[in-house]
Amino acid sequence: MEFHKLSALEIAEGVKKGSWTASEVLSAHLERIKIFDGQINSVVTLSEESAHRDAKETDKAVAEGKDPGPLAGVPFLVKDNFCTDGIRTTCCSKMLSDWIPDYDATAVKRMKDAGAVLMGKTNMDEFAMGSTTESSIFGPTLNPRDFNRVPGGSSGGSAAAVAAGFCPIALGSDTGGSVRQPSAFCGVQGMKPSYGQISRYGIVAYASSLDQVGPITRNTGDMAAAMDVLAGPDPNDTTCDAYERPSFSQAAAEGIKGKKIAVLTGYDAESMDRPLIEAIEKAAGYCRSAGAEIVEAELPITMKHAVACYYMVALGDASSKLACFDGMRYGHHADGRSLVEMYKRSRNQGFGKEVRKRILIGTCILTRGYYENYYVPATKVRQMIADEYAELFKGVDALICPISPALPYKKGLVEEDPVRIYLGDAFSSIANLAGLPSISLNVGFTEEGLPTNVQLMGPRFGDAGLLGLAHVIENKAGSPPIADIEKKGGCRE
Amino acid sequence: MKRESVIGLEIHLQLKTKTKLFCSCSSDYIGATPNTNVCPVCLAVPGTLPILNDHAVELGVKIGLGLHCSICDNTRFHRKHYFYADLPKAYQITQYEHPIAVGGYVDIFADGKEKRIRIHHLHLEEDAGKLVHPTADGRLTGASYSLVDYNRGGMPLSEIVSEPDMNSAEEAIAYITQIRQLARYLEVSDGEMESGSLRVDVNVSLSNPDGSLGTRVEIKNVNSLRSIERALEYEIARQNKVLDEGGHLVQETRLWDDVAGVTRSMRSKEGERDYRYYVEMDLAPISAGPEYVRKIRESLPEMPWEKLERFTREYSISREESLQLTEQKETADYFEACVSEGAPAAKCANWMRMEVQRILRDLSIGINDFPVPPAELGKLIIKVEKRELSNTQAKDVLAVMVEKKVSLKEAVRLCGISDGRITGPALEEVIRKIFASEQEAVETIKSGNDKKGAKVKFLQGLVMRETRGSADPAEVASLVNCMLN
Amino acid sequence: MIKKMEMDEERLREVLGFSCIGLPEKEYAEVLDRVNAVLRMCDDMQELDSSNVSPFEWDVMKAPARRQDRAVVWEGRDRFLDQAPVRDGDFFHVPRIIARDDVEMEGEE
Repeated sequence: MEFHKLSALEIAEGVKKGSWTASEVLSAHLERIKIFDGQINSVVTLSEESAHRDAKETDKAVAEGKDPGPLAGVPFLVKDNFCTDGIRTTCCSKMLSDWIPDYDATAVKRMKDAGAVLMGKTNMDEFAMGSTTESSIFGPTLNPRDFNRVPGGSSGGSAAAVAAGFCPIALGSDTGGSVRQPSAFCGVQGMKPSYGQISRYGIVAYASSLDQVGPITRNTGDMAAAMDVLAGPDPNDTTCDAYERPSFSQAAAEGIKGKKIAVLTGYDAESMDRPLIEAIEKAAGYCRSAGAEIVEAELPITMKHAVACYYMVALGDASSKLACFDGMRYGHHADGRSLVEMYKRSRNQGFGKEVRKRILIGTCILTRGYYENYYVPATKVRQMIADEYAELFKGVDALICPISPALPYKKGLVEEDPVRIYLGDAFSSIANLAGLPSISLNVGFTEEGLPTNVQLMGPRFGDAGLLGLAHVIENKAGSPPIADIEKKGGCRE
Repeated sequence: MKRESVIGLEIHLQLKTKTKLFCSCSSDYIGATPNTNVCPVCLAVPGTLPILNDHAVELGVKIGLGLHCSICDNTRFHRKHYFYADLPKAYQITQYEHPIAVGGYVDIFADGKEKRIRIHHLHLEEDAGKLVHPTADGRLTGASYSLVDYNRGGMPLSEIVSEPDMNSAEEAIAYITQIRQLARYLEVSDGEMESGSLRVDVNVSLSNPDGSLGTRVEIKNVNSLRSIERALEYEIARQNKVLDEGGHLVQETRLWDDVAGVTRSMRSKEGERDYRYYVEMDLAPISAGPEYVRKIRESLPEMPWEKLERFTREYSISREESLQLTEQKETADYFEACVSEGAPAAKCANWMRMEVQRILRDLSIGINDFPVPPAELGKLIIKVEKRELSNTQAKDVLAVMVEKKVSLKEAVRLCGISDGRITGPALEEVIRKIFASEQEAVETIKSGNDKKGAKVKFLQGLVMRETRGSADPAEVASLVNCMLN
Repeated sequence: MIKKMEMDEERLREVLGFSCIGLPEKEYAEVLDRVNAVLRMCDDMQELDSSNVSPFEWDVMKAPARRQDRAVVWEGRDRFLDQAPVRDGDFFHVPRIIARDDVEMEGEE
């Protein structure tokens, strides 16, 4: 039985029916990780002992006739910025290289409570600051579709692991595209739900008002199932909304007949990689044939100001949220002759270059004068962007647009052409600014085997409907296969 | 040239909640082992988020209403950034641009007149941890290292910022006293400067000859009413002297040195500090809508100034007496419980102010620890009214009640006073005894030689003394006369 | 319309102090370039009329209730202190605190 080829729902069903055990499924996945992860470096910590224990518990529940939960025996991985009880949580930084939390992030806990089995932690850009997963202290992750390319980031390890068949579901965090862009690059499905849909408790923060947990899967059925488990109020996060969630799985099964779907226009399509433009046309066509009406939409304020706005908000907040790393209570410590010297040496040694620079930029933005003249206006423009979307979604049910303007980058582009990489956030960061649900959906591969994809966005808290749309497109385009990592070197090289 | 001193105060009140402002750690930190009232939230453990304490908001609104402020709905918290060992997140969560209560006032009585002090605003914020410096005097200067205790970190504070409406140390003290009284009445804070649940920063400047405000100096480290008074007097004199000598004042923060009795410049470039305030997005806006505020307003107890006014009116006692009785809510409650037993208010007031106060002072206890229940004191006062006890006896009885923690009845017995008055046969017995020992006087009267009745009065007086006032003088007179005939 | 502001070295030095981060002087230019690039992107925002717009605020479906005032004891205290880099008995230990620290730090790796 090739367990790694099963979807999460198939695994859970088999476990519940007794066709196989959670332990068997776990062992198969652990084995696959051990054999093949050396090629792509997507997993930074395996917690085999606790995983076996959790799997046995699920099996015991099944044997005793108890409900083992909707994700019974589904092995999963989480990005290394999710706090995990008893498992090292490093944010792939020297700063936290030996830090072991004593609690599970709410998202992790909800997965475990649903019967899923946590196997370990995945690679990421240091403190989620990057979009290539190259700045990790554990070394870069490679794209399982093409080892010469990056997997995207910052949740590159999670996306690569799902693509490689190491687990059917992995969790990432998305501040400006960190779940969806790597999902696009690795050819899997990634979702950033509405802000406030999933608790942020236990996620080492990048930016409080942008961060959101998101599932990465190989198909939308698993994604909806994960959403059913993950979404919900949490007394430990009062920015997580208290409304009663619908069944995402049920909604995902509904069609889109009669729905009105907008395709974004008015951006510089010429500068984009051609297959990604074609992907949008393809997706729109699928929608049309499923009975939806396709219209065009322009978002002038958003398209012009989103990136600037995003950088102001994200970096400003990062400078604040990363200030708690002072070498005193946890994390990397360096001695100093004075308190300030201790702070500076601990932070300088603990944080990597890019993190330090982003902290500095963020601090600059919030200082006197710049705050009043730049930061505050940016927060107003953020509201205008949210308003522009709210207005759009009065008339349409969803929006289709690019997630990344480019196919997966070659390795090392960060050093060569950093600007190109920043602009890569242009489409993905909008959903974070406006708090909207967004899905990066694979719609096939180029001739070279590189994944192509679209971004689907919906109105705030319209996550369920958006999953329905994704499901329709996926039915036509097919869900992406597991990357062929057995063939060393990946596709064509 | 006489310049007017202009004083504004920032009062930090530690709110009387069971838990901290943003986490479920116990607020009962005084005397606790260091770093035991802590949790991942107040230690700024990665991944944790602040969760606002509902009760802290309620207490903030309460005191805001007590200060006649408008309560604002959907106000925000901000982050105030600076690195320091007592601040785990390297930012303090505080209300900056949008405080929960704005624009109130409080009336004070100082320098012999009533004055209204305007409140600029009241906001909520978290406290910092505590540093212990291993130096002889416990101060930072000279310490080669410091120890950090986060037990206090995250405690809820409400900061009350006045307008610069005070012009003398006496007014400042009256203002603080009034706020403290209000906080205690509303059970919002203990308001104790000694334990740090009430802390004051003083802003003082001298007005220019044209009436405009002069350079403002902030004084910190004033830890008692007395040191505030001294610090203000010193600082006002210092500023006058600098200006008199043609010098210039700098806007700065100065520390009060209680031992030396001087303020000293902190010499830090305070003006250059940039706290980078911005909205705390880990917390939702604080909802405090009209309905919420109405409920709290309806739950408010009688304010101290209302009580003062009512006592004076209802009990026909002087303003001075009312002031003393209403200074503490507990004292006022005790007084009213006494009165409700049926004891005359004026007498109760007198007993409370004289006897009870004296005992409390002697024992160094508060009214809450006074062992005599108000109903018992009320009954005692009634006994005096009914002449069942003399004043002297009643004081003895009260002393026994306090000392032995016994009931009125038991105390009366222990004092050797039978229950109630000495009357009838018991009184006749006493009189016979007196007659027996004063036969000469009796003979004088019986022989008709007591023309002016002096001997009869003498015998009556002896009876009264023997009964320690427990006999009715009229009955004594009639019985003595009757038994002589 | 405000004039375009440019972050300069002097302000960057202050910022290094505020954020307790050291940076080798040869890297000042890069950070300044990046800050100023973000600021230049933001200059365009001035063409928008945001005078009637409030700073961003969330749309909420149902606001969560505030926390009830009930104390909970944290069981992880001792383990946390055991892991802490600067534990000293029940305390955390920090070196000499001086009011103004002009320690200049080069970028350490």
